[in-house]
Amino acid sequence: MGTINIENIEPGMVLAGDAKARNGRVLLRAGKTITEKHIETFKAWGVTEADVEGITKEDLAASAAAQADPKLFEKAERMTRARFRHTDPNHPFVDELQRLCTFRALKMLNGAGS
Amino acid sequence: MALSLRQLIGAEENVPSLPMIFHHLNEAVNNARSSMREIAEIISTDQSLSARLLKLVNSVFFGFPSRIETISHAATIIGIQQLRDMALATTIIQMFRGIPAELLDAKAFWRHSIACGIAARVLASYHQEPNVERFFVAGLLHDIGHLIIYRRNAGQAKEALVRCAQSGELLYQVERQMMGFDHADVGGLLLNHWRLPQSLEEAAKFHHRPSRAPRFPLESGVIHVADLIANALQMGSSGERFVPPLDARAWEGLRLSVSILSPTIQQVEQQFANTVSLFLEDDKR
Repeated sequence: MGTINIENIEPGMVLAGDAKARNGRVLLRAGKTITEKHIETFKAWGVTEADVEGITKEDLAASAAAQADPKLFEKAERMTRARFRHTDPNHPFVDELQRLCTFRALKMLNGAGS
Repeated sequence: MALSLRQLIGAEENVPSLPMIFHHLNEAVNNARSSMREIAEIISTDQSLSARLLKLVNSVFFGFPSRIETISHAATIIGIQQLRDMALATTIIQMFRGIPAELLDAKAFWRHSIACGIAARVLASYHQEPNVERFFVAGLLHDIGHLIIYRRNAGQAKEALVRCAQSGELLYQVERQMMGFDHADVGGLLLNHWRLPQSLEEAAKFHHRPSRAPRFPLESGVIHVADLIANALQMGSSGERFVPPLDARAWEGLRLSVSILSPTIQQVEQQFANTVSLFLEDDKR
């Protein structure tokens, strides 16, 4: 199980923990299988993450990196790391911000190449 | 010779003053007995300010479905504090437009400030704060101390920028070493000098060390995190070339999950171009 961002949630995944709205209200209980409709409801209630069975943030990051051109990905990582040199990469906030910036840089490099 | 912080900002003629109308407006907003009509009347004495505010409240920034034609209508719809905050935002950008370009690209500076403001506004809404506009203004003003340093102490400001480019150090730390204070201190003093709300002053003064803010750690923490995001996204620049280090205690204090970062960045990207043209290109009419 692992907590992943809402944009990575897909129908068929199984909740490992309750999905809650921002105000704390439970929208779907742990153990339920997520449907397309549930995802719409989550988004409407401002849910940004969910705890699901069998998949982690690290898995998602690894598979996203595996899909990218390795040379470009390495370049994007290097550029982003240079900007983050004064931050602590082990802090979850920094880790997430740096990951998002790496993929943003990758998108720009891809855009520049095509 | 190095200027001290008080010297930099102390003498009246050294710092630009806020237009009189803004002091009247501030007094009226802070006075519980003033009516919405009085406040609208104060704003309406300045036609260019009124026009800029009407343009703002009718923009997608606020996203109201029907057209707002008068300042008093705007005051009823967005509230007098928010209207005052927006008046402050547009007034200060107008005041500092004529900064000499050799040291600092004024447009890049305001783009960074606007990105920080939008990020602060989005973070505040995740924190379920009422009146998110004050967070936008706090973000917009967080680096204003840079403008005073560039104006009053251009030599050392330039030296600091060159040194950072060569050594890879953080600008605010180099400023502290060279001058004994940094742009955040200067910004805090300027906002205090202008008698703006203390939350704005603290957010500027403590945006690099928010958990030290005595009265407004939340505001300071939101601006701190928003500044990191704006720097990470490289939207505009205030001279800093790196993402500043995170104050982990301040982030904990916000009680937000890191999963809000992805949608926050999406929203900042969506709103950025529009907000920039709204605030920076508003007198081409």
